Amino acid sequence: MDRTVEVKFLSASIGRAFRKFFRSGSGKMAFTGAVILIIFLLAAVFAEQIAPYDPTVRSGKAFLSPNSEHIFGTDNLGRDMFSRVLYGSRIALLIAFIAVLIAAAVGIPLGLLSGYVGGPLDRVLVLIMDAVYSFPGLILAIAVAAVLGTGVINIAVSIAVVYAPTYFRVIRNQVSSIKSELYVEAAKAIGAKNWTILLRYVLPNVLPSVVVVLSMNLADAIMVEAGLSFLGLGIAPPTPDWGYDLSNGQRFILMNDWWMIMFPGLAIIVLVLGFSLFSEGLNEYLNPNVGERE
Amino acid sequence: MSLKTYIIARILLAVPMVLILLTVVFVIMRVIPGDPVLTLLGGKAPIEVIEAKRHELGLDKPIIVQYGEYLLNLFKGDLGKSLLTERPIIEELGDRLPATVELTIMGFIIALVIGIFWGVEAARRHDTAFDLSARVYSIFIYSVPVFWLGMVFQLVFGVWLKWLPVAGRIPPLMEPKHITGMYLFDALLTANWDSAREALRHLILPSVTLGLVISSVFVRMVRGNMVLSLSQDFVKAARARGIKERAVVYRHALKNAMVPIMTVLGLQLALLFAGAVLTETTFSWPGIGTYLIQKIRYRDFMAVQGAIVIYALIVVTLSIVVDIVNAWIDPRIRY
Amino acid sequence: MNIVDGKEAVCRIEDFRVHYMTFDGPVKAVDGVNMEVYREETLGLVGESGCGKSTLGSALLKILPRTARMSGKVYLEGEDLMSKMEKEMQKLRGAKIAMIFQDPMTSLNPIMKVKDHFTEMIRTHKPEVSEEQALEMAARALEEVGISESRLNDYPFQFSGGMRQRMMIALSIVLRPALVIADEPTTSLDVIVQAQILQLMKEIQSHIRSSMILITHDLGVVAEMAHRIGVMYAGHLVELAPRDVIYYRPLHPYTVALLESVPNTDINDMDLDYIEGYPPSLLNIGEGCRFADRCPKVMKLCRDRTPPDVQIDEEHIVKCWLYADSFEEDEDNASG
Repeated sequence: MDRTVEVKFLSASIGRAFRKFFRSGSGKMAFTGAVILIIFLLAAVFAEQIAPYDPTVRSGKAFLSPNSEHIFGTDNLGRDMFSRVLYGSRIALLIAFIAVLIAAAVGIPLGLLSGYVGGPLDRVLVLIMDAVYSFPGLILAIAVAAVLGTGVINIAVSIAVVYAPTYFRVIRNQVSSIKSELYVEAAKAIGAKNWTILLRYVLPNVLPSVVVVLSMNLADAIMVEAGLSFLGLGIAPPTPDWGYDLSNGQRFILMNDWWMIMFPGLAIIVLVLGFSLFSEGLNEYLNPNVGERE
Repeated sequence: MSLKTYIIARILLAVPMVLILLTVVFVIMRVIPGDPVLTLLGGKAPIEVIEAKRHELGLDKPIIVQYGEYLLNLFKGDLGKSLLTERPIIEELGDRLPATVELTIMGFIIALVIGIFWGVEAARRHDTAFDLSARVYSIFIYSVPVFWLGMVFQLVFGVWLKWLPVAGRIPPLMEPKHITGMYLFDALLTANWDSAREALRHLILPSVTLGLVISSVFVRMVRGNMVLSLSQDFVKAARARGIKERAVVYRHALKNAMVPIMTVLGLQLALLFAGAVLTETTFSWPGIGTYLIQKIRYRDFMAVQGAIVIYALIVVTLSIVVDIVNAWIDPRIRY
Repeated sequence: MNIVDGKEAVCRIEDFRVHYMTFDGPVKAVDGVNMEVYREETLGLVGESGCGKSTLGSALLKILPRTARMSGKVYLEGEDLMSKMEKEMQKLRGAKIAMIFQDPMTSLNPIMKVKDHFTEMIRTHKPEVSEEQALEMAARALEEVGISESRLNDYPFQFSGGMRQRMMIALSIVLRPALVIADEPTTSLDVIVQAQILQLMKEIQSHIRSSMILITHDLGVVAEMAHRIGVMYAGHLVELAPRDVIYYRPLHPYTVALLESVPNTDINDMDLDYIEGYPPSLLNIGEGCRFADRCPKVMKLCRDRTPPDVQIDEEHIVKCWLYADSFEEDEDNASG
């Protein structure tokens, strides 16, 4: 085939895919989610430039309701809530990303191994992972966090323990079904090594679901992190953290300090919504037939 | 297989699950941490005191022996003594359990009612604005932290409108006679209407908070499975027999959709308990969740371990219950 | 098998249309069908898949999806079904007009006992009947289709496909409906069971003296079962005549082609004739004969105007311009 024709064809098909993406409801959903995520990422990266005050020191009177100088008001120590919410996205995103990476780094290889090798190893791993999976995620994270103590990595590990089984299950189930597909059989028949098969044939096929699970897990990880720090098991103060700020705000709720709980809460909601929309849209787009039954 | 045989088989199948969960708890609580005694007593305690405490708790024995004793004691229903209060942990948890059960049951019922009605109606009106509202609701509410929703309710109904109390289970000295420990239930049983009203007033905000947050998953699951169920041949066939629409939707379609719903629900009940920990903390609800968090603050690791074990047992019990209900709904599971 | 004497129409269908509304426009699945079903007769409705025969069957019970729009008239024992509200329709379904579905494996509620299927239906239509009486009726209906009463307590999954179809039949006749619509009742069964079920349906029908519309793509089945045959093509009823007329003196080019395309077991005739091309898309389809593109005898007129229903004789109607010459003047009336 003539090379230019091929290139033309390729660009045309990419164009078509894009148009289809934006015309479909799931495409719009994923796009909205992506926009939210980008805004939060920018806020986290450029917090120092955007924030009007240092989030950890007093910048005005305590308990100021939102006004022109402190658009989100101030907390009980006179710290600027807007700056704290802004910096809070750093901790939230940082811990969520590290947690999900650890979970994926543990769950994916184990899932590949378990699904590909099968046999007793598979059965034992499945049993253990299912047990962990069935345990209430937050309570598991609480237990691990209680033992490990505070700190970004410790919190991330606590959350990762909860989500590693998710990756394991998704990957393992897909691998054990792909394993029996004809093209893998064929590769084996022509003498391909196990590792080659895993990396060249199996992994590319499970990647789309990994991306979806990844973005879903980021949403959940942010929720768990907020929960842990709300319970006092998160990052040590005075580091700005949404969950901590919420529990701090709750102490003064009878004083009607609505701004102290409203803004960190809305930040969590919008960010989690961003990840949910993104993953949901992506999921429906990538696997149109699995969306209905969860 | 009769339902009875199925139940026995299912309970036996749960044994390895329980063992694995208990092992996981043990590994987390005993193998990972450095030294619980050191953290309990602080770094400045004399070495003899620390050693004595370690010996008392059996922590100086080899880890495998500790594991054996841990399982053996659990089997005997002994969760050890609280390092702080010196009371048997099982008793302390027993005092707290009814509060958690009361809250989760109410939350579950609220979530179920919302989930079934909204989910079913959305599925019946598949691809309409109403259907869209159900999807938007479930995505949105899924993003709301349960403790934040609780605070907003406290603010609106407790602080602004002053309609409902924001914390606790009941005013002092109004506790009903102890039967189950669930105040609302006990008060109703003993016809103690004042207590019942107060118990209910305290229960409304926490249970609605929990129920709303959990309902997200319920709406989603019911809707998805009902869309599939309503498109089945037997639903059309039932309509063709002149069965009333309500019966077609609820008796035929929903009951069939319940089996996959219940299966996922079994796993989602874990979500309910995780949400309950946060809800309890938000509303100072004296259940197992607040117990767990308090004990973590006091570094009472035996009590923490006990609370986690109880959660593990609750989860396993519920998964058995879910499977049995499924087998009861759908005879095919039994055969 | 004789054509029933004294032809009283149990069901009369006039200029009946079913259009599915889609974003791209209406899909005209059934378009201008006129026919009658006589008392105690079996009317076979044949055609390829997608020709609208199943849609027509479900439309008579008004159990089509929300996107379907119906127009025209349907009279069942004199009652105008199209003007009936959903509540009134519900009372007729199962009681006066019943349906047997294609796949017995999926058309029974898997988690409901056999007896509950019966009692639910009987007591919905006849609230005055007690639980015990309903069970007795169920037992009798099962007996009529050759299933032991002892199986009332079983679940559908404990039956084979053929047995389930017997159950479906029992369920559909337990209230003695005037009209039974059987939508491909044997398609999903294997050949031996198929023959048994067809035999059973024949017996039952003469026993309860109901009328039946038998929808199928299988010309062998209608040859066996039907008194009269209607041939559908792309939403049109193209020919309607007594069985022997359809088989021996078909007039519509589509009927002719359809009959020629039937594989037979005659090893001397191994040439399989088939019709070239595909049925047209029914989306936004306009005027004209829908078979025109595949018709060997197509004329210019065929593509421009929908042919009228031409009455060849008392029993034989053809929707084709070839036979309309002598009706040129009142063609419009004929199609209305």
